Amino acid sequence: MDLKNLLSYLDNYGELRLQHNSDSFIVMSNGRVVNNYSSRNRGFSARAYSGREWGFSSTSTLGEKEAKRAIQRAMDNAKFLSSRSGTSNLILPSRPIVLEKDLSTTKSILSVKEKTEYIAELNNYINKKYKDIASLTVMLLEESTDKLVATTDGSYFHTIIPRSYLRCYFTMKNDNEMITEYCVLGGLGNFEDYADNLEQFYADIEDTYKHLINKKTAVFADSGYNDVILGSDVTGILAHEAIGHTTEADLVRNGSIVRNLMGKQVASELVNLVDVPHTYQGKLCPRPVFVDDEGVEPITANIIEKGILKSYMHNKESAQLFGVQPTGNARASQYSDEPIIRMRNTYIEPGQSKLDDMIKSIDNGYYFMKPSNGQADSTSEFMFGVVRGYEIKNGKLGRALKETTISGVAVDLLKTVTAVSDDLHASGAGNCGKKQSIPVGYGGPALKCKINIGGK
Amino acid sequence: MNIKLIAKTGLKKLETMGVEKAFVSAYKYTNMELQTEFEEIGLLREVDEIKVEIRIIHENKTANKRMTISGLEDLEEAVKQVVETAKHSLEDPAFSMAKNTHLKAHYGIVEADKDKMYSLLEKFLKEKKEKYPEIKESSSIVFSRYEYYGVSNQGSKIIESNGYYSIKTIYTAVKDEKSSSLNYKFGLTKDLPDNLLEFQGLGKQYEETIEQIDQRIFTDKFEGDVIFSPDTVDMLVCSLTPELGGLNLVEKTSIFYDKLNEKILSDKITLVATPSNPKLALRNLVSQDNYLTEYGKVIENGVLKRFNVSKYVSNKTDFEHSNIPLNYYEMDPGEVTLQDMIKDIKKGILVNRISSGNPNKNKDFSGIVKNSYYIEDGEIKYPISEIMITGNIVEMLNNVVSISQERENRGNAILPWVRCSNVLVSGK
Repeated sequence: MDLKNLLSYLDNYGELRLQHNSDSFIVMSNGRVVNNYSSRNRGFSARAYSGREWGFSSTSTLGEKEAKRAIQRAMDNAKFLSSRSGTSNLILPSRPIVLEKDLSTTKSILSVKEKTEYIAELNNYINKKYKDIASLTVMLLEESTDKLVATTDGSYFHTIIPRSYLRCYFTMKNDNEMITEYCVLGGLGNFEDYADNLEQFYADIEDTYKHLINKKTAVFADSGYNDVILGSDVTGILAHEAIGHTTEADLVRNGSIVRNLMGKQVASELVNLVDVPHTYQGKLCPRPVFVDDEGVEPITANIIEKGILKSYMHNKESAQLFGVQPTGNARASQYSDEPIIRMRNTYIEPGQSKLDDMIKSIDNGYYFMKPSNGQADSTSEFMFGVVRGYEIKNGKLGRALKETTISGVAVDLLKTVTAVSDDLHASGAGNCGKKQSIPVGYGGPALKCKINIGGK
Repeated sequence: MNIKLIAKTGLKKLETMGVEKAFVSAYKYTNMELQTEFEEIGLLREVDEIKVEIRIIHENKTANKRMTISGLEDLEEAVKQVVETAKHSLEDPAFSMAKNTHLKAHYGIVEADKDKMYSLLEKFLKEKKEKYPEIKESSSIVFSRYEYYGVSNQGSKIIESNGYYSIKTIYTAVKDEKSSSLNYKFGLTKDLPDNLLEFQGLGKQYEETIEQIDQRIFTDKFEGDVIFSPDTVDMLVCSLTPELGGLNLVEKTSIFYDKLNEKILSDKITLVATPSNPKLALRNLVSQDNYLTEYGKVIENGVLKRFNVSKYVSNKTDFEHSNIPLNYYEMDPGEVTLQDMIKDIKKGILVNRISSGNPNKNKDFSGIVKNSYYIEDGEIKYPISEIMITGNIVEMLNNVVSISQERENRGNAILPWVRCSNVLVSGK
């Protein structure tokens, strides 16, 4: 299918996309393969603009005839709406790009047999070394997104972005209860890129096991407002949930708390928050976006600078309405989805402090290290689960904590930040569930702040 | 493309390759969505999709593959991949596939009424602007329809079709510099309502959300009564579902493992699996291994009566095969009206929504309450914010004081309000 040729069938602004998502997982539970599943979602879509309305159409049947039918239907849908609304055309901003980027492995592709053998090897290593684990699940998840897009304003790109993770879940009996821990290994790229060197993960696994043992004597956190250190992983999810969502321009237009705070102090001046498309400090981000799905060459959105709100995240339409440049934040999850404003790699930037010094500075508080899921609100109230954490007593780490929830109002919490560590850890293992589930990256340093805890 | 032809062609290819047990299903899926945003109907989206799903068991090894297909030529690729995957899986004689399951079920709507969908949204936007100008929302009406054909070499044939609407609104109330918490309403229905603001009490929910612009920051900490709304009851029940069947029984890690026929929750709670419930827009008539699902009381008056045991789990354990998935279910109503429930509370909260992390294995959890109210001396006093509730879900559902007569049909479940005592509530 020649997308460039097909563009001529559009009578106004439009985008054509050929997209192929594939994912697979192999789940080994206590040495047995209990699930061995793969899926592929492939199709063509067209999005057409008329007045200020969008028509969208997609099909899983590929071929020029079906593509033309989808294009016509998208245009008909847009006109169905614009003829009833009577709105006149909005001229959308443009920053087209022509690009080809393929991050697939260059190594030989492993067969299912070989992948299962590698997982079994890791499973056996863990079982042999840590004999007191009651239950072990090792899961290999692989996914890849292949997009070919052409737009009427001159963008044409083809990107293939894979990611691959090994998730290890440990369960241990502890008197009358079960305690759990997990680790996520891997990242951007294919399993083939690291399968023959699983020893590189043994240190992470050892670390996870130690935290599991510490949970045997875990205590509940005290509920209430406390001094805390948020570890890098937790800061990352804070950047995404707490501030990130409130600064997506569609949520701003729908009444987010930051709608009237542009140019105002929303955080301590130690806090800088950015949403990065693909490269940060010379390193590729865990979820790189080289072009967004409207064909916009993406730029970093400098959302907070020295505590001051400086930018929202935009697609073409919101950029036009706000009178700014689009930031390249429009993404679609599957071929059958329309692009909407999404975060890419959202970071709080590193500062100057050392983590050890930050812990020493707290007499009575907590160190939260590992999050589970999280949710945000348009008021900037957020919550996320914390599955790994420790007491801090007199500047030292104490007992482990049972799972808890932390929450706050981002525009208040970020003003309580008094130290930011000088390192950054980023993760791309998460998905964001705003209408369409899509992979996102997030990261940050450790932060010292005050937060509300759900304890006992 | 004909889904019957796709499924039969796929099966034939697998039989030619000598696969012992194979089930091939094809489905055609269409979806039409009208979406409002920023006070306009801004998107009309249509999706057509054909997918095939293959599951095989050969020499006691299993694999699944699902993919969109463009033509019969794609089947060749799908079949080869699934056979290759199974070949290199680990062997387990417990894997199973039902024999001779026959099902033909057609229900729901056949075609979307696009003009009615549009007029409903147009009317909704106009009325909302007049009556609830503070509400900023993004809403959609989606019509979904699927046709499904599945066939196996074990004598099974499954034909199903369904069409339904889903109505969703995500919104916040905004006034000057203040805004309420985000709230949402999501429901499935077989028939379009005449007025969206009357759909499952949406207009009333908008009124409450506008009130919640002036929510008060709560600073107290107490152990008291909490009334959980149907939305939050669903969340609590769903957290228990993994313990009521599945691999947790094989690994003996379910927290209810040895509690069959014992009391695990309050005697006021009865949970019934209703996978073919005509009152619900969705149904789950056949399990993944092709056994027909069953109606059944999972928990009766607090006593665990049955686990959801697939044939695989049954083969691995001493539990009897019992196909009662809890994805579509009902909780029996109680005897008290919601109004009387509130009147009876000296100090507590009414929780409409919870934002929380996943509970741990023991079901300890804490979460922020949203769109919720403080109750004192039998009256709703004011909307509250920045409150956390903490507890153990099993303990909470053992401390049930009462269950409401009224229930809400959420499309996947029919649920009442539930009042629990001794829940830790802590404010800022």
